[in-house]
Amino acid sequence: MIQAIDPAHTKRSLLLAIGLLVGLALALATAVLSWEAGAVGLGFALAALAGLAQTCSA
Amino acid sequence: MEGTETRRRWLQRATLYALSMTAAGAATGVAFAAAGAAVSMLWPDMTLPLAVALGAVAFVYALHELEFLRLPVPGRDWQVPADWVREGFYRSAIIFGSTVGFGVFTRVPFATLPILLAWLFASGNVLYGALAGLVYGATRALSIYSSASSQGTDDLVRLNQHLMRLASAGHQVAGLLLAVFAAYLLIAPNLP
Repeated sequence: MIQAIDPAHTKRSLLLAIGLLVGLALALATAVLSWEAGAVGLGFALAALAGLAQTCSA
Repeated sequence: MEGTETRRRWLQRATLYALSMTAAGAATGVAFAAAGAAVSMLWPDMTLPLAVALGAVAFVYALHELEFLRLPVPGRDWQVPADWVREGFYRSAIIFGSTVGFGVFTRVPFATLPILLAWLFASGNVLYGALAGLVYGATRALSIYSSASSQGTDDLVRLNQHLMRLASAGHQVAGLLLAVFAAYLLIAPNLP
């Protein structure tokens, strides 16, 4: 039996795949630096998103 | 004239709220990074295994934010008591902004904050903890200025409803960024 594809599920799967691929690409691109340098930058992005996201939870 | 004065006082109050929240965010960042620094003085080689373990946790919480599974997000349901906000026009803004800005005393609906704090702990760098905490506090405080043009309760309710509608997109962006962070932490430290 063929089941309908849930667009929301597809979108979430795509976001996960894109995220993992971007993380992999960043790891390879920053391989010449220390791994901490890239993680520090990602930490700042995480900090900004953590702050902005809380706005949607008032 | 009176309207200008009211607006000036509102802006001053909002700015005190924003500055208190930013400072409290920085204090939380410093606290977690300093705790991590103390641990790494006892066990100097812990940063790398901690980072890789955090990568695995970030991956699981990326799945949570993207609704593939349900996990509890560390946080508390405590709210700032209403009588704390009656402590004077300016003082209440400072009390409310700083209490909420610490981030760890109130509700945490997104997994990005606990993962950030865990990363600051793993990094063990106090200056970095302060800067990342400043970024967290300042971006969290920005929303206060979105209500600057609101006229009356109806406008505020509409603004609040609009922000609530963004929550779903917020979870998806959080899931995306956590997936990036997870892949990075799981791969980058292990590259030759």
